[in-house]
Amino acid sequence: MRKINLLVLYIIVALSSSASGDEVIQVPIDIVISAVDHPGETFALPSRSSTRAIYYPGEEVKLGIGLLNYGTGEVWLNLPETKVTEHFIFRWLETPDERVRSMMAFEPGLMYWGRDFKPSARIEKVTKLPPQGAISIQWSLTWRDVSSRAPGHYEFEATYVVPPKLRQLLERSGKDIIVHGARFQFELREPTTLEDRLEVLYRAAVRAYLNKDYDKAVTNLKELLAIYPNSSAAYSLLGRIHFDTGDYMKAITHDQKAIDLLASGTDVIRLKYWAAGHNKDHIIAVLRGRIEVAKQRLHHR
Amino acid sequence: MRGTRVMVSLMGLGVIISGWRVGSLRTGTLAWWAASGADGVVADVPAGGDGTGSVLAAAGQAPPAVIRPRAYVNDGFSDPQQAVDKNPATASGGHPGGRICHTHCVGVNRVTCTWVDFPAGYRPMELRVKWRAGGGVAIVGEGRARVEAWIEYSLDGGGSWVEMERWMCEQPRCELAAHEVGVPLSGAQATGLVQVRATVEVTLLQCGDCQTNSTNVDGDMSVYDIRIVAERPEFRLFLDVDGDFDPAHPESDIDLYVPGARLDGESLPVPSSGTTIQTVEVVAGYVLPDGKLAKPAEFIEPGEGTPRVSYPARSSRNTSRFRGIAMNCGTSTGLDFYLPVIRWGFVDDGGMTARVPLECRDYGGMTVVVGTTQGGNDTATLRIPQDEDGNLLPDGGWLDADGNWIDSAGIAPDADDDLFPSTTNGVNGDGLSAYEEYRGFVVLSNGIERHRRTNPSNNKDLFIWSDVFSDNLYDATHLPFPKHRITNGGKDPSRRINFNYTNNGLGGNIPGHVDQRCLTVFRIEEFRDCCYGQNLPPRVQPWTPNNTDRIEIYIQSIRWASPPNMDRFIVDSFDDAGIRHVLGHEVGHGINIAHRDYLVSPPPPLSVMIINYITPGGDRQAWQQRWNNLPHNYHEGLDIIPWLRLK
Repeated sequence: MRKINLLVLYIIVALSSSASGDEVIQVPIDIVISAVDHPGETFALPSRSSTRAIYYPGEEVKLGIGLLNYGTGEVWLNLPETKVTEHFIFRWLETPDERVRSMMAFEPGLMYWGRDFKPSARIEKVTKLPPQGAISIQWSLTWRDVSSRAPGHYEFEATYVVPPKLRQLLERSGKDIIVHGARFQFELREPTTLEDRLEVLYRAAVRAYLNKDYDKAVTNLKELLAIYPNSSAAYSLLGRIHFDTGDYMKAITHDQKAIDLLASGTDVIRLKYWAAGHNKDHIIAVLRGRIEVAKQRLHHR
Repeated sequence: MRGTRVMVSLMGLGVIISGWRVGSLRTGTLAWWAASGADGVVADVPAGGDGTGSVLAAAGQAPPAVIRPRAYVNDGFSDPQQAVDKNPATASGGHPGGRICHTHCVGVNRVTCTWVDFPAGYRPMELRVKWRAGGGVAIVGEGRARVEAWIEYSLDGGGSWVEMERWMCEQPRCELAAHEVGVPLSGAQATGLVQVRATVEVTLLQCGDCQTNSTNVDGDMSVYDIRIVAERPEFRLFLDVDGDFDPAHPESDIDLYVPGARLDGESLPVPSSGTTIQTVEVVAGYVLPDGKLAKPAEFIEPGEGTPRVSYPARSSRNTSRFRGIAMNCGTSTGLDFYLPVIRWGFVDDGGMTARVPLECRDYGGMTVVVGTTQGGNDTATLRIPQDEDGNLLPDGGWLDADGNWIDSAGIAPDADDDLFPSTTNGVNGDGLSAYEEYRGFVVLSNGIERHRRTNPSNNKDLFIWSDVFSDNLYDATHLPFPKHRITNGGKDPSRRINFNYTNNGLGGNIPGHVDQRCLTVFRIEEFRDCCYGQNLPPRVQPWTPNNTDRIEIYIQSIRWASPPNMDRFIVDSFDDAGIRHVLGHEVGHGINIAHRDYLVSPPPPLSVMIINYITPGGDRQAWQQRWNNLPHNYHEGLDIIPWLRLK
């Protein structure tokens, strides 16, 4: 079991009573683990359905460790300057290379969201987490030696142990915290298949697009289309790039191309990916909408 | 105590002991223990017992009850209590004193004692009295004298008397005679009205010349034992859930008891530590024909020892050992009912009851408690919860999450017959067997994790985990059947919500179990070019809770589509409505509800499953108008065809 340092030292419950009699009010808190800055899978599928993200060489594994307050009252997060706590526990359940345990390091960054929260706000030393609110502490899971990353499946579990003294304190006031841990599976994969290579190129394009590096994004997409000319995803992203840069004619052309590839069944890789028709309906609807807006903007010029 | 039905005792495994059995007198001590199972598993029973009939038959060998008067009206006897002290060596003495002609002349000296107040409520068989008398007469001249002693009884509280036996002596010396006399009593005779009177008298019948005659007489009487032999009261076990057991009006809560619940059906809180959900009491008592409790000390002879209760084995043969405490909570595989105290005496209520605390450690646990008096004279079983029809479900039914009382009669424990809403795949049910729906789940309720049972036959139940933060399930709330929001603790790593189906104890594994899963909905604070949300993995069809590994809601994609800014970073006032809508839409897919395409002519009725509606289209004003009127409901009749279970 690997214990790591974390900023969150204390979770204190300050809530209005909703229970009656001498019943102890238990505030349920979930730990939520999510992939951060990950574009999702478009061409490749995880080899296990429970795997939440695929990473390829060069990609940073960045995770959000969230705390979700299901209670009816505020939860105070005490984030002192002292750095060490053993209350959060990360346990690796599966790793293809035992050395990874010592080669990994969590580097905390901060963000949070939730009802009435603005994304990416900084956490104060003492943060009040409202009912139905959540905080996410963003972590970069880095390999000190990237080349040593072993491909395969990784799974870890994050739990939080309420310190005994805090638990006593809470119980005396008729409250208690129940923290439910979470597991997260991800996969490190070498891009060996056609789908993997398309995925790598598409992700590079998406990341470039999100960084507004449109030239690089277009270059990546053209490279993708050179390998697989029938990619509706590539045309769709090209359409979005042109939409954002104000080239609405090209945007309409590329979006329509994407629709045609899907509607005609030509984009076999993506259609093979989808067994149900819902996904195709979704993306065609998005493309249709974007074409409509592009037409309007052209009209208003 | 809210019991409306008087419990049937000495009832286990469908065997009802009725009537009263009285056997030969046997000595022994009292004890009791816990025992056998409804599934025929051999239980921890005394030697010779097989857990069912023969154990109960052993109760028939119990000695009869023996009751004695508790008061007396004394006119000259010494130590009247010694006639009723259960000690055959002591007696109450009646000695009227000698009588001699030259002092007393003709006349009578008499003493009497009446014993009254036999305990009421028994079914008597015989009244018996042990006594003896003796005396002597010295005759001089024309003198004549007599000693007489006799026993009478009254059946009407002293209104009229019947002589049981009379002894008389007119001899110079009479042998001391021991007597044991009995009269049969009708079982209908009220024991409280029975009285016994002893009288001894010495009489100078004739003195001739009273001045000079020295004829004299003397005699005495000893009463050793007065008893009514009655049918033994029925040894019975009661369940006291709410701590209000009243010995004067003994009623059991067993007919309404559901493990881990109050008598009104409301589940008790999920234990924050340990596994004990509630502590109830098993109450042992002897029940008279009039329904009241008898004090064992009143009718049990000293040879039987001090009445005590005990419970021998904390055994999986008589108690279930389900994993966890509910279908989706806990991991313990210990006994679901636990008696922390193994022996208990008849000390409460003036010695009328013996009580054993019983810890309930599972919302669906079952046990069979067998109480047996030490020596095996009396045995009774108590199946908890009551299950006379043998379908493993509590006869009293249970309260479901919506406040409906479920009648368990006629429901098979392995059935999965939820009829509403109907589906198009020809498979009813929600993947949860009736026993699983009864045992229940831990779900979120007003910010607290509560235990809730569900409806096994009328409503499909859908479980959802979501970190799309809200105190409800956004538009999925509008699905017209029960939805239950759960935490990470309410599902296992493979999303199962009924993973605790194994049972190494009484009853075995839950019948009819199939793995059933929740839908997991993730808020993805990111942008996707594809869509606003989707069900994953995409290759699976049809999507059902078991097939849908996760649902992702792409917040920045929704922001990009929302007016007026269409920017993935700018929060618009419409965003929240969009997130609600998309969540409801994707959850609909998760139970295989299909799209309604807004572009079809004529457009279908609006529902949360509409597509080509929130995406920009038409003129800007029309598009914004649509966002102002986002559908948040499913269309009844079109959309509500959920597939929660496949064949």
